[in-house]
Amino acid sequence: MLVKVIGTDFLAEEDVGMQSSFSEDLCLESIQFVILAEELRAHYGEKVDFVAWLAGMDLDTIIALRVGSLVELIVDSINRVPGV
Amino acid sequence: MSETVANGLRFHVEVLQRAPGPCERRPKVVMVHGLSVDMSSFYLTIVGGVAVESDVYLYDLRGHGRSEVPERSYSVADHLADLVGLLDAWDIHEPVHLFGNSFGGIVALFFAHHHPERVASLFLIEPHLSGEGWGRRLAEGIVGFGDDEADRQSVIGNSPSRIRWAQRAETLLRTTSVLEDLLTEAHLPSESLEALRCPVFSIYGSGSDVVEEAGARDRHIPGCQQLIVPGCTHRVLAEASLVVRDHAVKWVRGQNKALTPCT
Repeated sequence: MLVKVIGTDFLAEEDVGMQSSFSEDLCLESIQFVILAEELRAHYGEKVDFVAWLAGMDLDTIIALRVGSLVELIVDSINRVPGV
Repeated sequence: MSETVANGLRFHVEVLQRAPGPCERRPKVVMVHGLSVDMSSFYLTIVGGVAVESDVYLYDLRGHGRSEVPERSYSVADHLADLVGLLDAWDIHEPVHLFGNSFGGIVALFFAHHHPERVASLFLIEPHLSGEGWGRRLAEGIVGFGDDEADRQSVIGNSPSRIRWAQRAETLLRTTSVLEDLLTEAHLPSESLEALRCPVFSIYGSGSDVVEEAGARDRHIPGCQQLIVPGCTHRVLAEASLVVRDHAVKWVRGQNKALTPCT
């Protein structure tokens, strides 16, 4: 999914891990963050409520988000859905 | 990435909807961002809160974000035609709560003036001035921005993503008629402001360069509610995102409650 949003060239140069910051390490632009959210919704549907997750954060917190935080959201959300 | 064709152009759009609960009325909120930014300026600040109780419609303005970039036609009239086209494409025929930030606030004000039947309320964040010569002043401010290195550094910073954003913004200004179109914009006379009938909320930073004049302008809008956030500038949406978000949520909730409750 990150490859689709950021592109293969950049990701090939970066060692992406749970501690990677979207903004500083992956240099994700804010509009790419929106597109990542769209990709998440297209893939997981309502099971992962990315927008509601953002609702509890201010802009500085969002800018500092790490890949691991998003992975946690996805795992927690999927585990909460019965039968998945 | 979701796209919609409207007014002959391809727009990057984002629609956040939920099925309404029993007896729930979900108002429709449409957000219009400012110059040189994109829908993420709303998405990463207030959308999360507003989308809990409302259906939110976002789009990148022509030439911005991931929308199509025509070389010409960036007047307010063009943006109004885009918004009409998008509302039609989204099949929205009821009045919407129109949010506008900075230049988007001007688009929202003009839209309420020209299409009052399509606007339930206005929520304006640092809307630019709309009096005589507003476009020329805005264009001069944009051109002059590059001259002040400290100001430029404080807005752009050093991160590669922000530098890429700044380069794209400069390309937009250099290769399109954005600035040229601003020079010939008509103003919104006080009689037009006085004729607005929808509820209006405007929010400014105390250190904004438009707060005093805009405050005087807003007094012409019947019943306009105004909030000035201490310690913030024209970038109040980013600087005090939680404050703006809380007021936005309360505003739409209050407007929605004013409607006849379902029985």
